[in-house]
Amino acid sequence: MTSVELYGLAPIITLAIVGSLALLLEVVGIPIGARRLGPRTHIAFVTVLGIAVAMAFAVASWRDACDVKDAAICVGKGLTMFGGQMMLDRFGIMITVMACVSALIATALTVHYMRARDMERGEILGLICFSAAGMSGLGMSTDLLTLFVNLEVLSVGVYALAGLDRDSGRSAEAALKYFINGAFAAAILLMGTALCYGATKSTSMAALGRMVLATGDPNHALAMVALGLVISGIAFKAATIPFHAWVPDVYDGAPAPVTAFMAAGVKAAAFAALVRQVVPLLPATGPADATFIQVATVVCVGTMTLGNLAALGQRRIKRMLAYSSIAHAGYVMVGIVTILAGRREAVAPIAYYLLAYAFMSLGSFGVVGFLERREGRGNTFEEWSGAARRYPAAGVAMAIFIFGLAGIPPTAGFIGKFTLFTEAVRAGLVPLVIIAVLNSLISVYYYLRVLVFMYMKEPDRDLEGAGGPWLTVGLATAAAAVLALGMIPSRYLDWAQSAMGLFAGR
Amino acid sequence: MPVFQLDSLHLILLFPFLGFLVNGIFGKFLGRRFVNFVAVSAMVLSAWQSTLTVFQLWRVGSRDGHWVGARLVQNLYNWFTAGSFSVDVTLMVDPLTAVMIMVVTWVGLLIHIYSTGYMEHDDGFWRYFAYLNLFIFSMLILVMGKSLVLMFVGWEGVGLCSYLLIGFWFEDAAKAAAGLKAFVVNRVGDFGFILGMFTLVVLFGTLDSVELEQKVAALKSLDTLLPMGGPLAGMAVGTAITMAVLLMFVGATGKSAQIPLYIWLPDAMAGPTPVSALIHAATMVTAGVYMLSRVNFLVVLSPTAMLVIALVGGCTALFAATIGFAQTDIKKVLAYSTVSQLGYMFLGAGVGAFVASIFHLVTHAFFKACLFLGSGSVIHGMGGEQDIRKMGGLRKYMPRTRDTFLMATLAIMGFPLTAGFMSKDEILWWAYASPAVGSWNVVLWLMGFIGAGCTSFYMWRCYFMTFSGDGRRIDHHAKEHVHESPSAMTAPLWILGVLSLVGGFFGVPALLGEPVAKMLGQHGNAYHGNFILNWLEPVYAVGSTHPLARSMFAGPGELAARAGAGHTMEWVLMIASVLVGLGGWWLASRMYFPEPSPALANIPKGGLAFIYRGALNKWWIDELYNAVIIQPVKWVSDRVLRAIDAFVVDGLLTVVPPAVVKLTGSVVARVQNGDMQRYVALIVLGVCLALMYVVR
Repeated sequence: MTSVELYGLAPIITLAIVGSLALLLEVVGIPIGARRLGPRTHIAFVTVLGIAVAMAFAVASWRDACDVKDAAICVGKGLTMFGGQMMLDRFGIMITVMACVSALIATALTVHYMRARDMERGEILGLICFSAAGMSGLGMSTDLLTLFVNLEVLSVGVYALAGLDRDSGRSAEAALKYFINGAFAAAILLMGTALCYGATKSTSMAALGRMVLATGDPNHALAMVALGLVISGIAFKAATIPFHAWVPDVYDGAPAPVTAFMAAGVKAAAFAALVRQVVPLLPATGPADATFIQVATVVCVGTMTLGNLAALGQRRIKRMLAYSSIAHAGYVMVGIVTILAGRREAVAPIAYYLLAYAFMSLGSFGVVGFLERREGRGNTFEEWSGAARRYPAAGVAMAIFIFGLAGIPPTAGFIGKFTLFTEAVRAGLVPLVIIAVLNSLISVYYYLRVLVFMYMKEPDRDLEGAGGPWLTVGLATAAAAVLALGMIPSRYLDWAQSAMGLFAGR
Repeated sequence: MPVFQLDSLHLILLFPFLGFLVNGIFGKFLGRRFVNFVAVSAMVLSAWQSTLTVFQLWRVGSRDGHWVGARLVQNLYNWFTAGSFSVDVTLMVDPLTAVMIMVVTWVGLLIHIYSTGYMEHDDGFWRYFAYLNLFIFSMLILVMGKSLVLMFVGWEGVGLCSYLLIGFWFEDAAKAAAGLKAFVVNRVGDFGFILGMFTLVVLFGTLDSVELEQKVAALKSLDTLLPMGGPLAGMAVGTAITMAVLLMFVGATGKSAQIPLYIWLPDAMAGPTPVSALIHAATMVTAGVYMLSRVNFLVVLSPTAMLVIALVGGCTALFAATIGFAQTDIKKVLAYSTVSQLGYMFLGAGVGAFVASIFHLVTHAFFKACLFLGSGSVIHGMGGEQDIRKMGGLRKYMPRTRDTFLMATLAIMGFPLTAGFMSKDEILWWAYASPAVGSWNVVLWLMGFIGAGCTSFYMWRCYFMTFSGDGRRIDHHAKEHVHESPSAMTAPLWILGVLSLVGGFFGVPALLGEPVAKMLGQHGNAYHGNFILNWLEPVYAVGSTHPLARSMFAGPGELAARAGAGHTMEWVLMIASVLVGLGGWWLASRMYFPEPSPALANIPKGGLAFIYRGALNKWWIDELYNAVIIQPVKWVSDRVLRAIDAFVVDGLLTVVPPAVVKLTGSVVARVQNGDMQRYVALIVLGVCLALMYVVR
């Protein structure tokens, strides 16, 4: 391992160490003096600190992981690692930061949730760290093998997390469903990788892209099949149609903080991988092959429409948010279609949207976790009646997340949709944008219903929130971020823009 | 117009925002007096600051004693940049915004004062005032935003506050539903607004109103085809502008309650009455009219869009007025009246008479706020009763409310020289005389003319049923405690009532003003008595002098030709509209004075039964929407779920042999909704489809 590799992997290594440390501390026992804070609070402190250090490592390498503009300093575009299998570039760093942010807030959401259920265990925090390491690696992968390895690292942690609530049938069911479906998707991805190797004698994403573009080559058809399988494998994690079916059950069944982590982190990492595989499909100039655009458009329209229409009829808020996360995957797909239409600039709004959605989903599922009770109770609209009147702070936070999800200014959700759709319009995708805006119009109805129930009904008798300082800090951070990203997004958009520099020319 | 930096602009909206913060966070713990004090003083400071700003604008915008207009701007920060497209958070006050901030802050102040009386028995007062201040803040963002995107932020903000305030008394499910309806219908409008903005971005690459104006001024031809490759490839510039304007107009129909999106406004009357006065009559609902004025230079480039706007406005003016005939809830009468009056404003904007439409916006803010506050005073005095059939004779009990209500009724019926007369007549005249709408002018004028008669009728009906007679329709319990409202409520009523009478002198048309000016010894010079026209003219300078525009200002010669005998025609139309107003009054007094005539009971059986039943049932529009839009969406949503269930839960059960299900063991037995094998099958199916499509 060279120094560059060590440098680039520092956040991942840190996350892995912190995860192990969390496991170790669980075994060692509770130090005297820490008991007062709560049985596992010291582990949470160590975890948070460790993730923060990992994030600091990632941010510190920002300057070196430069974009094309100052190509004089860096070799190529970003620093290649492991012979081109991974890439330390700004896009990867942004995904690492998103993974760390998701892990941080998920940790904060977890503490009181687990305590209220007597299931506080150190391995939970460890698993979060391991998954975050996988996410970070996924964001840096430029090779199908590293992609696969990181995807598995990520997934195994999340499978276990989904089944955390051992006493709950729903949780176990969610974990099993996620695991079996995920294993299947992983197999598909692996098969695609094998075929890619067959077609190109390499497992690099760029090589696959080149072969897909080389229409005359005898191996072209094989490469197309490989591409289809690879994209399918990634799309499973990103939860687009037709690979979305597991989402409602898994999101609904898993403990809410875990759901938050999945919706925020896993989705961001999966889309990062998708962007990395999609960009090589573009020729030097102009749009990609019309077939790709058509497939992506169908997937995009189908994903957001299905997500929204299905969310419309939900009685359970958690399940509604699960369908809404499918719809949001559809909105991000608008960006993917835009890239395929030849407009690489869409990478910046995608990066923005992923972060914005990360905060909104962490926050909204965090509030779900606050009000959720055993065996999936406390999740329906009726049970949320008057919640904001009993817990005003949670009500305000949820209002911010809901307005963000619905895309209403001045939240991050608005800027995300606005910048994303602007790029799409400029790429000429007017009908697609009309459908997307119509979809977000539909979504307002079911989002706002949450607030109607929370604010405008008499409080439910059984309403009971399981909160505490950790949750408060986590939700407050997410809410502040949704507002701040919405009101002063320019700095972050600039960063995203410079991350995009990598993709500007091939 | 010259541009000046003024770094105190943000103060205008800072005060209401601070008021919102203080009352919103600490209001629960502060006393009623303190909350009132914070809310009202925030408005006083804001109104004072906006007055100072307008004076400053007037000072810098005058050259050698002539008013040439100016723009005051304050650039706060760069909001976001996406590629070459950048949006700044910049506040701007130009003559148009100046009019709006004066109306918003001063009428807002009056309504805040009134609210201190109106909410004196309500426990949620702190929440109420926090929302009200937040509303003023959002409304100021809307009118002061230089970029259309910032305007959109305010646009959504006022929608949110409206939603919060409609559902203010959330004990009632119907009110919560009304709030939701308002919000969702408005989002339909926003859909148009956003798409309109996207069109403008593609067309001009900016959404800054001043930059847009410059780009439009530089346009050489409307027939240029847009470059190939873009999303609007091959479309002529003029067509694209028409598209953009019509899309933005969809947004305006949502916010300003025009056909077909007006349905939310009457339901929105569920909120507290001062809110109806401030938001659903004087300010928020006029945002669409303001928006058209803001992009007037685009509107005038598209005759098609202008005709559509004028027709929608005219139809709404007439249609909503007829619904007003049969309403028995005093606030519903006023709600449909608002819809109708907004229609007049759009009629004005559609024929290119932007000044007249803004003028009507201002006078309407006076008299409609007065009417709503008057109705609030009545409801307050009657202990919550809103049905005018159970009122009557209130002039005895509430003389001050009655006097001010009468003033505003005179204004809205168009009694000569009142504010409503001046502005409505201006719109009707331009509807007739404008060259912008071709031969539709007579139709448009007729709609407005008949609408004026209807307006007079339903307002006098409302007035007579509420205030005249001997009070025999009031029930005994209510009669015991009917009382005049406190002076915190009647003082704003007086101010607004007087403004309803004399507010029209801001914009005396040349027809009336010129002879007076001559009498007073002004000779030779052009007439300058139409203050609001002079003030606003610079705003419309680019649009009205644009060589490609078909604005009313473009061709004085054509105008004179259309007007035929010039002044004679204007006199004829003016007298006609006064007569039709008096006709409405006469009819109403025959039928409803002093008590509703017993003969009215026969109407449902008579020849006019259809009109009566239609008006009573609001022409079944809500039912129509339910059948055409809501039920189908529900049906599709339902079907999607069923299809998923059918495929995932039931469908494959017949395909997968039961033995396999048994084999999967106990865990699967606990699976209650959805089966893994089927999800996996779906994945395989998806992969196969994708591969088939890609490889072919």
